[in-house]
Amino acid sequence: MNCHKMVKPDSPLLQPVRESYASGRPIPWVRVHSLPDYVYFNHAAHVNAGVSCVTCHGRVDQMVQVRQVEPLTMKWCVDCHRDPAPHIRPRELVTKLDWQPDGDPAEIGRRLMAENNIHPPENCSGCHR
Amino acid sequence: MNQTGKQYWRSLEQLSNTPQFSEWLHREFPESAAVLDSSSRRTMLKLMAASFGLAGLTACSRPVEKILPAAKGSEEYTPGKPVFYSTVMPLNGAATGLIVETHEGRPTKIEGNPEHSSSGGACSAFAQASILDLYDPDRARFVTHETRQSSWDEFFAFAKPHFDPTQMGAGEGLRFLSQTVNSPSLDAVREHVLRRYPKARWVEYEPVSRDEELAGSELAFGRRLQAHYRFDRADVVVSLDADFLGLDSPEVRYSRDFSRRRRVASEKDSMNRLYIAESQYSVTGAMADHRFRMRAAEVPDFAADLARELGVLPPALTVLNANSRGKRAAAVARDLKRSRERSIVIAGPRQPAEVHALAHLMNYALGNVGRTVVYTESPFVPQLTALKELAEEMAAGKISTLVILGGNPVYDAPADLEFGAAMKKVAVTIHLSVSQNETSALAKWHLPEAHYLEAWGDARALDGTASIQQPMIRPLYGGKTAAEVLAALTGYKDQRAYDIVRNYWMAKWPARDAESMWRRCLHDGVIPGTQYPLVEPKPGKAPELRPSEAPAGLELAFYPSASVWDGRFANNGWLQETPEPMTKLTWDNAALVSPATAREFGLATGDLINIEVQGRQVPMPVWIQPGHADGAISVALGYGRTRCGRVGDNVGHNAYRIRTTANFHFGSASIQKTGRKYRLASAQEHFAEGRAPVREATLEEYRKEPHFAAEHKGEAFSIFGDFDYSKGYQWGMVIDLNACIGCNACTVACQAENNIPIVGKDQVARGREMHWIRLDRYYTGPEDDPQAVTQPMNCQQCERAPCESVCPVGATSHSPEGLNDMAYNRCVGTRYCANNCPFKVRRFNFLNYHKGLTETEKMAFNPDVTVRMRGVMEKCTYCVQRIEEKRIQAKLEGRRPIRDGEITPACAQTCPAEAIVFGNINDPNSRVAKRKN
Repeated sequence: MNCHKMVKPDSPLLQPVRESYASGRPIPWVRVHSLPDYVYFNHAAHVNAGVSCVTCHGRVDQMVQVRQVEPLTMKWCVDCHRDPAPHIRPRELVTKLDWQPDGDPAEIGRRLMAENNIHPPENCSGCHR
Repeated sequence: MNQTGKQYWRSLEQLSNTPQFSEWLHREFPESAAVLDSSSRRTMLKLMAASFGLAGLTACSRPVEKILPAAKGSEEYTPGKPVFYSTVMPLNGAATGLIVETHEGRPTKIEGNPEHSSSGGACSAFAQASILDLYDPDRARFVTHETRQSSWDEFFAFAKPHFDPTQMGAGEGLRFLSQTVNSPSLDAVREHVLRRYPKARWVEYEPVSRDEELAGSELAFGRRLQAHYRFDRADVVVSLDADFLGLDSPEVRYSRDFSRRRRVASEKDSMNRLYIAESQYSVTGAMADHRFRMRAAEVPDFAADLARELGVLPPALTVLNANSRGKRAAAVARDLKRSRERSIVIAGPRQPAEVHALAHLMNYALGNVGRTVVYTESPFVPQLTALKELAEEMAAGKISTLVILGGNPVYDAPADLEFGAAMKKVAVTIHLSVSQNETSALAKWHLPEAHYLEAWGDARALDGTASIQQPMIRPLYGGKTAAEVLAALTGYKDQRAYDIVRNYWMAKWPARDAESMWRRCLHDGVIPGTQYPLVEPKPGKAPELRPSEAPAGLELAFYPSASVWDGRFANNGWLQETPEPMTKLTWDNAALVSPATAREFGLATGDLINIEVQGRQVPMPVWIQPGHADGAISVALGYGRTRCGRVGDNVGHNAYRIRTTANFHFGSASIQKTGRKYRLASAQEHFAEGRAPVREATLEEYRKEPHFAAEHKGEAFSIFGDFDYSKGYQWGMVIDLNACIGCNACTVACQAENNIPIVGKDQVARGREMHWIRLDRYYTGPEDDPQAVTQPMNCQQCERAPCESVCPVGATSHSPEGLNDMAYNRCVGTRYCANNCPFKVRRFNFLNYHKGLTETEKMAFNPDVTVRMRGVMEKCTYCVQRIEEKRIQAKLEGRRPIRDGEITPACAQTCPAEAIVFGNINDPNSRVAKRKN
C-alpha cells in the first residue's frame, strides 16, 4: 500500500484494502455501471473527446455509495452521439465534476468539435463488433 | 437487485423438478418442435408454467457482476489491451517466427513475425490453428504410470536412480526417439546426454520425411546439403512432384517469394511460369500454368527427359513414347534455357534421390546456382533406416529403456516395423507428449509435455536463423519440455527450461552485451548472426536412372494432410473442419482417383473400398478427383486415429496401416470394392449456385484488354439508395487471385480472430460450415485434365447490399465507411439476408455451436469480438474490431489520420502470398487503391 499506510490506516471502511494487500486477493468490487457483453464501450475515446465523468456517472464525488443515475440505454447513448455538442467540454476539465460552462455549453461544444474533429460513430459497428 | 430474479435464470433445472422438463432443456430442439402441432406445444407451455410458477419474472434484473482488479498490478499490463510477444513454432524441423497476441495473460491469436525469414509476417494454417492445441481439453494433465494417475515426483523417484550411470551403465540398452530436432539448446542437452551414455543412441523420426532429399544431395554433391530456392528471382519454375507452395515446404516463405514474381499490376508487368509434373492435384498444381499429370513413378522419366534435353544426361538409345514425351520435355527445356540463371528446377520429397540429384545438376547446368538456388550444410539426418534399426533392436529384446520425446511412432511408424509390438519388448518405455496418444497407451510412463506456447525453447528456421521460443502462459498442466526432462534425468548444468535456453545463448555472446542481446532477441524474435553460411558445392556425375516399369496394379501414394499434417493435429477442430484445398473435404480423408480410373474400376465417390498392400489393408472411401493421374490412388496421412481426443477419434481412415518402409512414399496396391457407401462432407458443392464469379485470362489477353474482369451484367438495387463515400475513409479489400495459392491460412486466421465455431461433419454435409472467408475452387477444361483456380470469398460489403434491404429488424446496415455492419443482438434469424446474398457468404448459427465448450477452449476466444449464439447471422466484418481499435488509437494520438497499412484484417495479415490487401480506397496512395486499378 502506498497511500493508505498513512491515510486513515485504522479506518474500518478500508479493511478490504488492507486485506487485499496482505493476502494478494483482489477486492471484489460490485459493478454498478454495466453494459451488455455485445456492447464494446471505450472509455478512453470518450474522456479524450471531452466528455466529463459527470455526464454519464453523475456527481460521484458526492455519492457515499455509487449508484447509477443515467439510464445507459442505447437510445440515451445514440442521442448524445447524434448531438454531442452540449456534453463536450475542454479535455482538461473532464474531471471537474462541478464545472459550470461560461456561456452556452452547446456553443462551446460545437467549437471544440470543429477544432478537434470530433465525430462520434452513429453506425452499428461503432459499438457492436 | 431481486434475488429471485437472479436465481430464476441460473437454475431452471433446479426449480423445475419434472424430469421431462430437464430433458427438454438439455436438448437443442425438443422432439415436439419437429412436429409443432398445438397439443405438444401446449404440453410444453403447461410444463413451463407448472415448473416456474411464472412468479419471479416481474422484477427480473441482471445478475451481479464483480470487477476483480489485480491485487498487485503490473505497469505494462492494462486490462483490455493486448500484449504481443514473439516466439517460434517448430514443425518438421523448421521454425516459423511468430508474434502472439495475448489478452489478460493468455495467448489468443497468432501472427507471423515480419522480422523472421521463414515467414515475413505471414504464417500457415497450422500455425494459426496451433493456439487451439494449447487449449485442447484432451491434453495430458498429469503424469501417468501404467494407466494410473501419477506425479512428476513419483516419476523422478523412479527415473533418477534408473538413469544413474551406475544403473544405466554406458547406455547400451538405452535409446531416445524424437521428432526432427532443430533446436540449438536441445542439441546441447542431447550432446550432454550422449556423452554420459556413450553407447546410447538418439533416433529422429517424422512420418513426413526428407530422407530422399538428403540422399539426393549426397548423390549429387557427396555431402548432405539443404537447397534454398529464391522464387522471387525465377521466371520459370519446373516442379518435379514438389508441392512447394503447399505441403512440401515447411515454411511459408516460398509462397510469398513465388507470389511476388506472379503478381501483375499493369500491362507492362511480366509474370513467372510454373510447370509441374505430379500425380495428385496439389495447390501448386492449381497454380501451375502447365500441369503434366502422371503417376509419381513416372516423374523420374520426365526428369530424365528434361535432363537429356539440358545435356545433364547423355541422350538415350530407346525411350518409351519418345514422341510425346520428347516434345513435352523439349518445350519445357526451351523455356528453361531461355531463362538461364533465372529458373528453378525443384524435386519433391516423395521422389527418389536420383530425381533430386538430377534437379541439382539441372540447376547447375542452367546457371541457377548462386542466383535462384543456394546451398547450406544440412542440419538433418536420414531417419528411416535409423528407425528401422531401432525397431529391429527393440523386437530382438536388446533395448531396456526407450525414451520417446514427442511424436507418435506406434501410430505413424511404417506398418512393417510393427513398432507397437516391438515396444512391448522394452522393459521401460517413457513417452513425453502434449496429449496422450496411441504411443502413450503402450508406454509405461507418460509425461505431459509443455506446448510450445507455454514453454521456453529455441528453434531454427530452414536457413538457420535461430529464435527463442518464449512462453505466453505458465504450463497449464505442469508440463515440461524435452530438454527439461532430460536435464533432470542426467544432471545437466541447468534444470529449468528458462535457464537451459538462456544460459545456452548468453554463453555465446560477450558478457558485457549478453543481457541486452537476450532482451533484444526476445523482442525481435530473431537471433542475429545465426543464419547458416552458404556453401558452393561442386556437382558430381549424373546418377543412373532406370526407366519406370509398367505398374503392377495401381500406384498408391501417401501425402501429408492439409488439415492434420501427419496426424498430430487430429484433435484440432479448426483444422479438421478446414476444407482440403482441392477436394474441399472436411473431417475425412479419401482415396483420390482420376475419373478414368474410377470408370475402369466402376467406382463412384463415396464408395468404400479396401486398399491392400502386401497383405495389409485399410478401408477408404473413394473420391473422384479431376486432374488426378490415371492408374494411381492418393491418400492423406494422419486420419483414423484412435486415441487423440473427443474431436479427432475415429475421424477418417488410417493410411499408416498400409505404409511400409518399402513403399514409404509410393508403391503398388490393389483395391477391392466392399459394396458399402461412406458419407463424405465436402464444403464446395453448395456455394457455386451455378455462378462462377471468377474471371481468367492469359497474360497476352490481359495486355490487350486490361479491364477484362471489370465487365458486369445487370444493376444492383438497394432500397436505401446510394451513400456518399467521397469523404473520410472508405474501407476496401483487394484479393489478387494471381497470387492466391489456396492454402487456407486466411480461413483459419479468420476463425481464430473472430471466434468462429466449428460445426462438425454432419453440419458441414448440410452446408452449414461457419467460415467467414472460404476458398472456392473452380475447374475449367476437360474432366480428366482441368485447370483449377482458387478464389477466396468473403463478404464483399456491397455498396447496394441485397442483404440490407431485406432485414425486417434492421440488424444489418451500411456504415458511412463502406462496411456492411452486423448487429448480432438485433438479428432474429429470418435468414432472408442469406437468401439474398449472391455470394452466399452469410453464415447462420443453426445450432448453438458453442454449447459444451470447456473452460480452456473458452480461453482461446478473442474478447474483442462477440461470441454468437444460436439464431444469429454472422459474416465477415473486415475485422471491424481491428478497424475500431486503430481508429480509437488514432483519436487518442491527437486525432491523426489512420495510415495506410495500419489496419490489417486477420486474413490479410496471415496470407503467405500477400494476396489480400486492405485499406482506404479514398486515398489514392494506399496500396489497395493502387491494386484496385
